[in-house]
Amino acid sequence: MSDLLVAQGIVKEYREAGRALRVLDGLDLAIHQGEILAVTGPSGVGKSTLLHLLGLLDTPTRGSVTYAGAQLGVASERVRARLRNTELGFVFQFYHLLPDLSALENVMLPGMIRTNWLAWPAARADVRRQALHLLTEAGLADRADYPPTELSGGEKQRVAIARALVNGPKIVFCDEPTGNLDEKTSEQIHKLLWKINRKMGTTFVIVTHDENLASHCHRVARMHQGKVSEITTNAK
Amino acid sequence: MTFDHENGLKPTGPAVLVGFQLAYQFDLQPGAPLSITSPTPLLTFEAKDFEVVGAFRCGLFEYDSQLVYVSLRDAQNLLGLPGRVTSISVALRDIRRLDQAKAAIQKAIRNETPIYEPARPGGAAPLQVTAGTTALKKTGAGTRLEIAPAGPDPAQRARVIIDHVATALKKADNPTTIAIDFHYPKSETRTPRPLFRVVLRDSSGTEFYCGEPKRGPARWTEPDQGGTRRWDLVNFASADGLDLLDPADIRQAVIDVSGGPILVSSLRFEDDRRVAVKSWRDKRANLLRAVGIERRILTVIMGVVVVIAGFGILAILWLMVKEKTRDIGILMSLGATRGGIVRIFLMNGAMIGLLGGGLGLAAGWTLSVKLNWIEDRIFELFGWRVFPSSIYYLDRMPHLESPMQFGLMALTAVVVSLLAAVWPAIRAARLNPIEALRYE
Repeated sequence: MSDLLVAQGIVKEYREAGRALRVLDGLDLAIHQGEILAVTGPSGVGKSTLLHLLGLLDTPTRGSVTYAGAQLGVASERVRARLRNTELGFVFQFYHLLPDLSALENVMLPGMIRTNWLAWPAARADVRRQALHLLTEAGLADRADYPPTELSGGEKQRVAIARALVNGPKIVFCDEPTGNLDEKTSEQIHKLLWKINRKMGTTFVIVTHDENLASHCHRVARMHQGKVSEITTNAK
Repeated sequence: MTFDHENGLKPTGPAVLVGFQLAYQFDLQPGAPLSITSPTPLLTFEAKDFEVVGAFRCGLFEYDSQLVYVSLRDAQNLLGLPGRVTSISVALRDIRRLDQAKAAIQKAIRNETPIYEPARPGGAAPLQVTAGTTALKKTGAGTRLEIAPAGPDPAQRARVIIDHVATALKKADNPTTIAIDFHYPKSETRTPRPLFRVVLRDSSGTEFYCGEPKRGPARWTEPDQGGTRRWDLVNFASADGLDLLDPADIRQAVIDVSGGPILVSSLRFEDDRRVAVKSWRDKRANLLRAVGIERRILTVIMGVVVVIAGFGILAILWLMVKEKTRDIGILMSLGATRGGIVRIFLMNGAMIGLLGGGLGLAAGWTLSVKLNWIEDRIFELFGWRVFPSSIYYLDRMPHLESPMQFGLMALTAVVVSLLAAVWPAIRAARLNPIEALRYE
């Protein structure tokens, strides 16, 4: 299995009240193509920070992030935005859907951002078809025109997953995707993620506290004091 | 001219047309007698009886409330000025041609018609003036004759006359005489005596006057008919202030013959009187100046209002950025560039400008077109005039529809809104996506 995303010697410091707060301290991690990787560890160990760095939402103080062999530490903001749009997807604990748009429009949004505004009228139908297809896969075909405020937590998270997938990304980063959901709904989300992984070969990186979820992942990276302390591979 | 009643009756005596405000004020119906008095030189008043034949309305309150019209002959009789007029009014069909019309009338009076004799069709200027051996020619301003000796080069011609005057001044200890010859055509029998003086200017622009005819050092020789008349400036150099003048520094000599009799085609202007051509704009210069200042102040006030409105838009967009912080973070996480975020808020500003500008223009246009209609409705409802004609001169409020102004206003609205959007847009683009996502 080839390495899709490699983080080497990642250091991330925040300046707070004049003192440097080191969240990540020389972290190394390689993500394999097509795997589901769980990142676990105690609160405040830097799991979310790691996710933001890998997802190009933030830049490391030191160290390098290599995506498909390309160094991204030196990439321009424009290139990083482009990669976030087409190659990466995000699923957050609090769904982060735009409240003014319907479920379908939320799913179409990355497609709209990808398309030049002049080409949008022509591309719109394709993006809409893809978005509807993903909503159907997520079992939300009848909720397409609902605003997020009228959806349940599980439904919102499934909309968010569909949105993360609409541009056909290689990796989807999930930050506590079930942290806000009950057991039964969490189970539905897990099934959906695994189904997508099987059908589309999408790589998932899931930050979670849920040991049950972690035990189902292909690999589990445990973090301790700003580093990955242990990686275990689960038997299929 | 004869005025008829509406019912076709002819007035029995001298007729008078009165302004409709005046007719309303004094309840003057057609057929009513009206006595008009005029002061005489003996400080008594002479009264003449007229008959009202109708009222006129020109829309200008001052005229409608003050003027009466009688026939020219009746007016000349009343004022004791038979065969004479004191002014001629010209009405233009197109008010925009006011300045051109004024210039054309001035030109007709000053230039195109010779000063000392009636115009001859196709003829050259008949007046030839010589100063000593130097020829003088009539120039553009008409009553003002600038010394311009013959010769192809104007600079050289000027030098000739300056030399001439300077030479005369150098002999200051002796009485000096400059003679200016006026050549009249034989047909001209009148022998008008021009009232003029000589002005010398030195290089600093200082003017020195001499030869003021009324004070005397000048002699006018008159031949019997036609031929040459000579104007002698005796003791030329002893005139006031001339001892301060350096003869070598004279740059210009001007002979001013204003005040002389002027003939303009068949119009004869009285001796010693100048003809003034005045447009309504000249007559109302003070009012127009006040209106101009008012407009400038209004422009400033409106400018301030626009700036305040701009800050209002800025504040709204600023709050919008704050309210949408999390959404901006979401868009960034989905791959929106900072340029894209800037564009969203600039578009927002432009939309506000287009919408507000469009609504404002529609409202402004309606208001200006319907202004008089609205005023009438207010008067009907509340019995109160918003624009009383006694104060505003006109009984209807005029308005001007200028596409340029409309376009400029629309553009200003869009530009101001766009400018107001720049700062919030930049602030939105500078948000850190992670912090924006965490924002509650």
